[in-house]
Amino acid sequence: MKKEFQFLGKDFPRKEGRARANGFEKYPSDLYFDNMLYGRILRSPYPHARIKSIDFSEAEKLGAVCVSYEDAPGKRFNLRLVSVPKATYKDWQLFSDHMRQVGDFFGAVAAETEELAEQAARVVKVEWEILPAYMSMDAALAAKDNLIHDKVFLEDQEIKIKNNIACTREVVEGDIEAGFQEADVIVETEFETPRQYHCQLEPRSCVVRPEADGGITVWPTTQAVHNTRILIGSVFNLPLNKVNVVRITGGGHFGSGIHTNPVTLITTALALKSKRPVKIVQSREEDMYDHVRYPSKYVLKVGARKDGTLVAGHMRAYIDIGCHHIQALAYLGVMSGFWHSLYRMENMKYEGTAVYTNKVPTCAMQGYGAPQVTFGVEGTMDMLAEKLEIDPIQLRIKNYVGLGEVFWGQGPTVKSPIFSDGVVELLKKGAESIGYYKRPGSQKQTGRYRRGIGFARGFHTSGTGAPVPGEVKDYTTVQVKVNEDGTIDILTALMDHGGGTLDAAAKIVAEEFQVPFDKVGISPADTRSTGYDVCTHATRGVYCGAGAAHEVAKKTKDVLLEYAARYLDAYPDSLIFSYDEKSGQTRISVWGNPEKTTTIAAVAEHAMNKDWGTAIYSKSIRKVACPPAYTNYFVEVEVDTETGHVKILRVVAGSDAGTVINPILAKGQLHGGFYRGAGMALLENTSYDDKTGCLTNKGSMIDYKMLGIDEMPDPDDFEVIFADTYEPTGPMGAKGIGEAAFNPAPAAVTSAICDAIGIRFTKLPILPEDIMDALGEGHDK
Amino acid sequence: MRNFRFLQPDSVSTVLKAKEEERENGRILAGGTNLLSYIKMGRVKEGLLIDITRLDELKQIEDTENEVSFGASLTITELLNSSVVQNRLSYLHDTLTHFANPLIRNQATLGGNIADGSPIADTIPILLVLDATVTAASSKSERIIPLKEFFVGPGKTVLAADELLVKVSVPVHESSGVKMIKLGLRNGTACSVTSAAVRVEQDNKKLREIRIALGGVAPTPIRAYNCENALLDGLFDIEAAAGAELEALQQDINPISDVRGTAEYRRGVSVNLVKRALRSAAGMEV
Repeated sequence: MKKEFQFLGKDFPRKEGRARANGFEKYPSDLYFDNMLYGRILRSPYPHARIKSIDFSEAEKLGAVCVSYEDAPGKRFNLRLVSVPKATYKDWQLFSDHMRQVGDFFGAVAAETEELAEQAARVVKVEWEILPAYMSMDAALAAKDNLIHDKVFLEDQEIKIKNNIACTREVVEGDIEAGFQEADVIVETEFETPRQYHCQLEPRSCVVRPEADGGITVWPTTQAVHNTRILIGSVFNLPLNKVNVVRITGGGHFGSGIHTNPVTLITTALALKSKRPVKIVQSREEDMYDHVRYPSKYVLKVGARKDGTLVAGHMRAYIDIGCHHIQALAYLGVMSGFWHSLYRMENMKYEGTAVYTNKVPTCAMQGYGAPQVTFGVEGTMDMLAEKLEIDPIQLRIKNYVGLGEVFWGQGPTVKSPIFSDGVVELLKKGAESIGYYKRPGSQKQTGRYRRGIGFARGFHTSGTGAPVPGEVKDYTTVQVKVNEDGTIDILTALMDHGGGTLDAAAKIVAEEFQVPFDKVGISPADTRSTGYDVCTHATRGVYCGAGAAHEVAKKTKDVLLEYAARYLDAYPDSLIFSYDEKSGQTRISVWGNPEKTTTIAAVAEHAMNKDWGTAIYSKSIRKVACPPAYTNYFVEVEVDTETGHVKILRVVAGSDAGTVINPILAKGQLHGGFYRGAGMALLENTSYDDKTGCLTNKGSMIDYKMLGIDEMPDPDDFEVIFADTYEPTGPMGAKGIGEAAFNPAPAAVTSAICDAIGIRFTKLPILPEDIMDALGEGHDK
Repeated sequence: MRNFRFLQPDSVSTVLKAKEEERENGRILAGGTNLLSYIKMGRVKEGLLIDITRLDELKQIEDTENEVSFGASLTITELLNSSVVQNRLSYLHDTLTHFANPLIRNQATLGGNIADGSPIADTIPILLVLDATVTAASSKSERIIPLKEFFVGPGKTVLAADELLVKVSVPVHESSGVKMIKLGLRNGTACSVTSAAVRVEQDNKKLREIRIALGGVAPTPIRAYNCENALLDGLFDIEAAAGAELEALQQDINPISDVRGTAEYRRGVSVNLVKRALRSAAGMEV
């Protein structure tokens, strides 16, 4: 049950909202320094090729500084440092002569102006040896030689690559053969999800400035300043105290900044060689060749007893990861975890294979593997419900992993118990609000427009914390300080992607000290002034990041209490904080002695004047659980049987985020997550021209279609229900929300389409042509 | 290397002189919404960019009894704001509200949309059913070309290398019903997958004249002559037009599969779009 708070649970304007709305906020692409050069990246026009020779003489005549694989240290690494070393595959180099996709980079130039840099890039001469390109998993798996990678490293152990298989992973619980024997009904289906492009507003970009002390300062587009620093230090052999990575607002990430972007390393290489500040802002086209969501293709077999109890499941997945590892091993792990943690199943087997192809390297995007897996698992639940003639909602309530059970959404090494669970409440309220049991169904409808109501449920983990160390790192360092006027500063390397993570930290600290939100500030942060923070990813911002701020705030409060006790001549344990709205002051009073009272400001100032010190504390905090933030969507759609277009009429979102810190932002997350999830279901994909290896959209937005505001329901028809839950391990009862807001959306839209026209799609996106095709043939796709 | 020169002439005759000298190398810069993307994609690498955006001569609207003529460099927004378009060609106004997005409409010109020769240009099907003509001028002469004879292939038109499209003339069909429907992958800023326009003249519920035109189903925007004839031959009963007559459409179209849709899909929805445009043009419930 929810608790009452002074500040939490009420709508607040964002701290940086004014700056963003007025154009004052600085992003990497806004930075200019004296003497700065502009860089351009040299890229392969071929999907698979080797460079025989490279000639920079014409570019150098234009005054350009040039770097290429010829200057690069040969060290191999992984751009993503979230996993521990023993679970990290390394197949990247700073530059390579082996080009593995169209748009792969082999060097870069920097010049006085952007125009000159562009000109210099165009006159670099390259002699190519074209290699056979593998544009599909089948082609890649059949290859014996000219592999995309010959060898990679797992930590420091060399691994020889065969058939372009990047890695495999098997996760087994129980005995599936025995399990399937107990099944009365078995459903086996192949599912496929698209290569969705992040399309963050700001393309990945970077500015690097060499400093007088021989170090560098870096302003990258990143979700993880510390991992960026560690990677730069390692690749360029720089001591970490000479690499200062600044937290700067990014123009959106959606997962594309969990790993250090290649542009960051390339800009660093140019700055170190030229000894001048260098800036690279990538074009949208370059950005589209830089990163993309993991697609998935898997066969899911699930068996159930007559009464609806799931008894066994088998998932065999093949993942086309493109030309590099941005940690496919972790991706395979979470696929198994998200699946296993949706529904209870004693016997399960997951077999995942990650395959290299000559395509854009795949990485995390909002939801990581959860939208992909949830799409198939929820589709399968609907099919089972139909076969078993059990209400789909009841089937889920019977089998879902909930309160008191152990779950491992982030893969088999991240296990923790569930302490809060709003699933049943949200399913019931959602069904009621949308009229789920009053839907007409496809059989009763004729005419051009058919309506359908569908739903799906899912979750995301709130971070990757666990009681024991696993494959993934997870902690955040925070410093909380009470200033001499009673205001408070929070210093942490935690990132805010725009979802309000840092605001949440400030609000939770404000609640702890009972001071108004605007008296808590977030200090500018860089890697030199802060302790390690793993990354803002995995929906860990509020639960782990702001959770760390909360734990540290309590310690800082202890210091303040010590000073206040001395000041009031009382014992610390007897002191009470209370916010007096009239005076705008936070009072510290001794219980039972109302005359003994003061304010935070007075204590802090007194402590300074008496040389007692500053109330300040700093600590690294790891959360020892990562509770599931449950979400479900009920969706009503209208299918136009003359064009195959799907219109989303109504959405009822259910979110179990524990205590809701800032409802207006949390609702915004649900609107945004649903929007991109619906896009994944209906439109978004990057496909390839197999002959040229180019993206068919040619890196242009005109042919990378996303849903427009027109395609979203009226805000009045988008209802949000928050579950009445309190997460006991979370900061003031809070869990995460960001990725949970996405995960069930594609499955829910698909389910609604099925209800409207009686056809179940198992491959995304469901384009108008697929719907017309299916309507013509009258069977499932 | 990209290598461009730039000319901003103060009269149409200067433009035509430059076209005569430069021929294919003289690139007309009107709204630039196509040309700049061609330059960015590397399809156009050099030449003289001839900026016609400031020529008032090409921004005139002539409103006569039977016809309205538009200067080629009028922007889509200017057309939308024109009272002549709003009052006398309201169906054209309706079509133009679906053109790309407001930013593009502020830049893109009517002449550019036609001269670009795209099979999916947003203005063409409706202009085809209205029997529009275009005027092409060179330094030596001027000629009027029926729009239905203007397109040759994707990006190819009958405009000669020294010619400039200066005017678009649209007959006013007071008693016709007209409707164009555009189908993209979404509503805003979407290239047409397929589009269809229909004009019908009825006489006591009997069909006197019909025009059907489509975009995105052939190498050029097309008139669907087979389908038009089939409908006329059948002593057309509009109520039944959903039937077999529209099957003739399949002989008119020859779509391809591309990044925006499959050929099969285009074949299927073409019929649906024409049927709907026809019913709407005939004043029936859609």
